[in-house]
Amino acid sequence: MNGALAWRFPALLGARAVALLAVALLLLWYTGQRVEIDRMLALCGEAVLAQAGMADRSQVADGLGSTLAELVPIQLSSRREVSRIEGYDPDHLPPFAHIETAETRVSELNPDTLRREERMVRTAWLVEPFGYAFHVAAKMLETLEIALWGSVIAVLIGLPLALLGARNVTPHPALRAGSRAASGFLRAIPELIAALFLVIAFGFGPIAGVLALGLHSAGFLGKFYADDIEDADPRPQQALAAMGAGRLTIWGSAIMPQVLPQHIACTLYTFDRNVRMGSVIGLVGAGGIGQELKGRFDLYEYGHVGTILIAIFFVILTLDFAASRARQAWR
Amino acid sequence: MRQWIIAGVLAALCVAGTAWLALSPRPTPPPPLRVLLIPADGGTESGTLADYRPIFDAVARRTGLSFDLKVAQSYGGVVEAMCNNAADIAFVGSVTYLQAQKRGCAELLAVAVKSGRSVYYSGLFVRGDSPVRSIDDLRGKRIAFGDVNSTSAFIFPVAMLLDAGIDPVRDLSAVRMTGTHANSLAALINGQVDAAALSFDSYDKAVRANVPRARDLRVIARSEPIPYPPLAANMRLAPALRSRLRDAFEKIDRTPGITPEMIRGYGGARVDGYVGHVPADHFFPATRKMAQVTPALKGEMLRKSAERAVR
Repeated sequence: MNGALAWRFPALLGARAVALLAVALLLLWYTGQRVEIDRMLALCGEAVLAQAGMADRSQVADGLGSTLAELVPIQLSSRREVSRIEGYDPDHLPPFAHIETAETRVSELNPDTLRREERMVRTAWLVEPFGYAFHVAAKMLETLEIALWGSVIAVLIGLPLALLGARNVTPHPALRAGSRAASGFLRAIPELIAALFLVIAFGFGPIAGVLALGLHSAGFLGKFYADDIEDADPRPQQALAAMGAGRLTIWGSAIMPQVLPQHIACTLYTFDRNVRMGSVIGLVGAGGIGQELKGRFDLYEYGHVGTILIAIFFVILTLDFAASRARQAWR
Repeated sequence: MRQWIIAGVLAALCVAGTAWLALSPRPTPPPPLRVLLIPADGGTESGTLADYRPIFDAVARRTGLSFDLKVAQSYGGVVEAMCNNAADIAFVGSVTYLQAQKRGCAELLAVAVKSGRSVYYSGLFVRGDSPVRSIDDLRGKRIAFGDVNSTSAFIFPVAMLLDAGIDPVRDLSAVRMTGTHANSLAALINGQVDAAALSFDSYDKAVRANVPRARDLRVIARSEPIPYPPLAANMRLAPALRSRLRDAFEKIDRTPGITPEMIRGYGGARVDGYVGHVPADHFFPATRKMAQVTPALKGEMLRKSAERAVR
């Protein structure tokens, strides 16, 4: 029995740790002032109090509340002005569609009097009950496709970069440094900024989006793959090396089988991330749902925005579910 | 050995596939003209396409040409696309058009007309309960502007301030560059700024969409008439083609299959038709305002907008 073996708790707070903690706290306090954490807390507290009826007015609650409240009810149907539909045929409406005639008050600011003038306008609308939901679904599909191809490009560029950047695969330090720098460079350009440049080069549309996502995520796959490869258990590699195997053979037979689960996890996360970023790059015209999202926001159609946000949430949830199933199946 | 054969076959398939994609015969009709549309004042891709597709379809029927319509997101991107020969025709703001024209890339193709005029307005808006009565009261106040390349949300309102003797950098307590009309309006309604520069159309749009408290806003100053955003043609198109297009746009209201409701212009609003020949001085006011709002001033305002809010 080893019961008498002396052991002690590791000293949690040595003098050095206390000093480090003090420096960290000072840094947080200083930077916190600069980014107005104090004001953030005050505004948040005010908002909570206002919700509880204990403060009469909160800028945050008003600003956020008025917009968020309008996200619901979400918009599922699409409405198009009948008079604007080319080749409109009242006898052959799309399935489940119907015509709605509505009197709407149109308000216009008169440039001469600077007063608002209102008049009634009668408009016939073609209403498709799930038209907008289908439109969002189609745009989400495009977002997924952009994310998928962005991820494919990321793997195609990231894996060679990782092999060149890993110490146990690439012996030459200059080559390694070059490859690490290349990954870092790709990672350093956010996809939104890359997309800004790429829409100028490739035109507005999904090509710019695919490349923007692909290049940026190639940068971080190049790093994560390389780190995984370097962390692999060296013993099988040494055994193969002793038998005279080449570096690529060692990678294929001794490293790859070990790091494959990490590689797959990284790749799946990249895809997940690309789906989320794919719904943003539309802001600069690089395809996907982002353009629709920004457009509806600019048109003050918050119900439509609500539909889109829920659609993105469902897609992310589904992907998460599928990824966890895939990981279980792999084990 | 087997793996090598499989790898070889896969590689051959990849090469063959790429070759097939790259070498497959191009369709014989001339490639469609590439059209870039910008949702002025904000709008969606599908909405902007719905506004312009009927017009371009009509022009296509009249001329036998075909068009590939795409929606752009930034004014700057459209200028670059015109000058890089990535677009043949573009619908842009007046200032964007003048920027492209100055670089020798674009020429006026057509501009919408409504009741004989081709102008719209922007203004400086305040909340209904604001003590600000006139543009002079804006000294020391916070103002929201939209995109730095926007004619109605930036260039004209900034020029209005300059004309009133207010230096937008020195005399305002804060400048907020919100990027869009919608964001500026939200900032005004929520009290983040004291005034916002908006086009009348985008304000009308907000009231129509029942944005809370939008009805209570007040205009304290109106801009000079702003020329409608035009359709511009790339200078690389053959002159004969340009005049054929101009002609077709001028006859748009007399093209079969087109109803008056289908002819749309700036911000998706109904217009009477298009003209291709506008007087040389039509864009003069925009040129003058553009010269007034110098790149140096824009840079200073951008710098000021990065400053922390004054509390």
